[in-house]
Amino acid sequence: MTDPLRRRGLFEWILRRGRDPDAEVGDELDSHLALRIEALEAAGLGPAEARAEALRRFGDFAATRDALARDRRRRAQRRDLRDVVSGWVTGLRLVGRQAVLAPGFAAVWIGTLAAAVGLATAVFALVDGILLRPLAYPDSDRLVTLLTVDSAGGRYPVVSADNWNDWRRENRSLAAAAIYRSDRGALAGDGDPLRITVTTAPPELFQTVRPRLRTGRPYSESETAARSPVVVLAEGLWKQLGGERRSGPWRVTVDGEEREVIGVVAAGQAFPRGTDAWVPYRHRQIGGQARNNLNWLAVGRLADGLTPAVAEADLGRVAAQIRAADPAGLYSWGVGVEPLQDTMTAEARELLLLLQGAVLLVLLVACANLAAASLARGLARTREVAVRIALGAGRGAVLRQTIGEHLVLGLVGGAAGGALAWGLIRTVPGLLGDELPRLDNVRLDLRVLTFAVLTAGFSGLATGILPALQAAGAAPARILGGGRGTVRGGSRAGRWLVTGEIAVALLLVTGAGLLIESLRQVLRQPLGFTTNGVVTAELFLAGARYRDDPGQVTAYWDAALGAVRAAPGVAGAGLANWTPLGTGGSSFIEIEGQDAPNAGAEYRAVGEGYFGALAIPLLAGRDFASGDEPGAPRVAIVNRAFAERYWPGQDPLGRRLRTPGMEQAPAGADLPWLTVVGIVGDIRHWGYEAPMNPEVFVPWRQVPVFSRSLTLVARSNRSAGDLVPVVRERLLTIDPATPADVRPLAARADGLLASRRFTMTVLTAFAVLALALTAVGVYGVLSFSVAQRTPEFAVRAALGADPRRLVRWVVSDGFRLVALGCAAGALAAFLFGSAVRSLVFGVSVGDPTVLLTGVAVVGGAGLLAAWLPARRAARVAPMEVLRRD
Amino acid sequence: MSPADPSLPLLKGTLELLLLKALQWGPMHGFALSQWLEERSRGEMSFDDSALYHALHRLEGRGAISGSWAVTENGRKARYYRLTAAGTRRLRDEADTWTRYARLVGRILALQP
Repeated sequence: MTDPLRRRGLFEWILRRGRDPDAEVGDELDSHLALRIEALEAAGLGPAEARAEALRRFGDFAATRDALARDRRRRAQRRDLRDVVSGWVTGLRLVGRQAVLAPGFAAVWIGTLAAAVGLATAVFALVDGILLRPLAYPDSDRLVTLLTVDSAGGRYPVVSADNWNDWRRENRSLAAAAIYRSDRGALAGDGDPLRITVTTAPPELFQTVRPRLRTGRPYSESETAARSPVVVLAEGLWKQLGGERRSGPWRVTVDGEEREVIGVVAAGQAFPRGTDAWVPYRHRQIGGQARNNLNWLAVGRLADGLTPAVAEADLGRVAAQIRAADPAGLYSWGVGVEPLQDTMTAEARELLLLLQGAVLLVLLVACANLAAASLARGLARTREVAVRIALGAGRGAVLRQTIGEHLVLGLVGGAAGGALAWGLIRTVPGLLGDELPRLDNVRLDLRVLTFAVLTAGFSGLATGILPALQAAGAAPARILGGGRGTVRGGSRAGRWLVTGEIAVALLLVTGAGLLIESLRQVLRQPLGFTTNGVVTAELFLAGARYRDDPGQVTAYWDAALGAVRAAPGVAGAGLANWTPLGTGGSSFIEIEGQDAPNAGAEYRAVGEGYFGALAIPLLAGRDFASGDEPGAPRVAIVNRAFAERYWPGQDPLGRRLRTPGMEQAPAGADLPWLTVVGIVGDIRHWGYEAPMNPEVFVPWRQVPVFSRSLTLVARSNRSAGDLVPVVRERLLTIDPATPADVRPLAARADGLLASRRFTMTVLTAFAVLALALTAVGVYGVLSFSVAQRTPEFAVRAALGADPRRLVRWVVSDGFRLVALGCAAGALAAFLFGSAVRSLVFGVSVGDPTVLLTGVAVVGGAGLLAAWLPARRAARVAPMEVLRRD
Repeated sequence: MSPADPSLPLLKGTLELLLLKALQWGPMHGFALSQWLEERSRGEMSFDDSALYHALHRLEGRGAISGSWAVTENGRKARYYRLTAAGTRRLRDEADTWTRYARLVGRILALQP
């Protein structure tokens, strides 16, 4: 019997199951006419007469052909429907029957698929909510981030307010644009003062982003120009302050200034995310060097129908004008324009796509496993199928029914997987905290459910195809006539599936290994400072008395330092405007005697005791002192990286520099020179994965611009957790109106690693799952082959074969699978290694140690899985088996 | 069919029964079936070839026969039909019914007033 599957394309067979009814009927009737004409000619008629007679005896040829073809088509449709429905019914019955007869098999089958579909769906929900879904603002696809471009083409997400003024006036491609800046601030209402996030922005911010307001209105141009004391609150803060119950004008104190609440931005509509209050600001053009102060973020709304590329070209023209008019502007080589959504999700994108890819691989492994399991079961059912075929069931029907069964199994597994995804989506975001943007947007909705259903359906199909082909290919005569039938093809397909699983498992294990090794390398990076026992207290001196009297500011800080240093267990305390692992800023630097206009360094304003509090070593010279006051000689401290870059091989002590990016020259005078009085060790200010940058430190007492907003850093001999409440309390006793954000520094270090840890943990979990599935797969395939060859083993054992040799046979059989799979997996790891490149740190993507460890893990698991059935082969009791036949 | 035609028109459903009967001799294609019926009825039965194919397709649709392509002794491709298990059962039942029916009708028609 010819195998119909060999004669036609597989998919044609599955989808159409036959030739076109028109052609089929036409052929049959043509053949009839030909035979009739042949017979008539044999009886002596001429060709033309014979043809006419044949047609006459046929009746209406064309009408008959059409009618028959129509009938056939209709019948085929009805049959298809019947087969599919009966496949579904069989599938449901099968699920039910197996739940009763083989609860283990059904539970494992459905459970495996549920786990894979559930994980894939949960990850898809993250991808969908974070990457795919538009932002919540109206027409958010038109929102863009504006970036600064330097002469080397480098793009920075920060802009200068001076440049932005020109962009806004001269551009022809933006409907609106705004700069904004968020800072930690203090809010005082009726109750205790609160630490809040305050965004400073011109009124254009509301015209650009167009957030929905819960009530009231945004501030206006005239209010901004007149510096009216108004504020817009976020719905969350507004409710916290009891705003819902108020009527009439209402005032709150933001950063020491009393402002009237005129509007409330609806929940989920805040821009930038996390803002509690918006205050108006209008930038006055300064020009010259001020163009290089990149301390704002910028957002724009594209004019209708324009793309970011068009806007980029248009703003590039404006940038060129600025460069021509104001040569002091170093950062006007163009303006970057990119979709806001891309900016917001850039960091999450790679991680999420990696996880989505990984989870789909797990799904693939699960499907391969289930297909292999079904193949093995299908072989056990070969007789049943052969009987059905012998009784006249079409092969197509058997094929479609088997697929139908798997679709049902797949959908039952998918339903369970959907439930699992629902649970995961409700718990995982809580574990992640703030590490991913837009997490509040992640939910299980129709789109995500559609994904789950499609995935489950695909899995059902994918697991069903091989068993279906196997069933449809069953040869009744051979199987029913031949006693103990073996169908080698099925087990061969199973072996290929398992080999593929090994390859994918190795790919995932290697990926996870790279991330584990990366985290190890990251944690090995010396920070250059300690986080042990260190707490930071962010403070803003908001009250009117601080604004009007610098002496009050200094008095507060001296009192605060004194109070904290006196607390039990405190080993050191100091002040800084920007602390490690938090925010920072950099400045242009002029070195006395050097002509380096683009020289720059990280810039911090710190005070005496700061280096000691963070255990940053003082390498030479002296620390700042409380005597480094406004009237005293201007001084600076630099770190080793700074000294090596700007004074290589020389003693920096006593040399002079100044910081034009951070200080304006007093009217009619030059910017003052700062004398280097000390050298300190390098630190990784921005975290483990950041470089140790050149840094320059100035005493905060000499740069009053920063002195109202400082962070107090204190180190305890005991735990940081114990110090937190102590510091908070002592600071409140000095000024009850000035609340502090007190946190352990170590928590910030952990926060920086959270997304790396998350990715690593999830990918490792996926790899372990894939590995476990693969081991089960290897075990299953070899068990099956051992079961099939049991009589052979029995004979060999009876003839005196060494049981150890039987073990070796089976294990080496498994070894072949593992070796081939590992080779393919290593190749895949080599080809797809670049997917993790950006997440890999301190280890190369093709690292041989990681790859070999992966091979050892996967190979070990595979061989262990092979050894169990091998042991069974060795224990075959010859007589018992042979008697069975 | 002209009035002068000496052959008998077919009663509804008869052709299907006869085809099933013919296939008891083994698989046959449509033309062979028409020859077979012509010979066995000695030319006394009249039906168009189109009616034969309608009947064959109806039988196939009901699963009584199944068709597959094969090559005739003259080397031509033709669609051969064979009885299925269901067809065999159907032939037995219908032949039985038909025989009883024909006997009954014949007996009644033979009565004299």
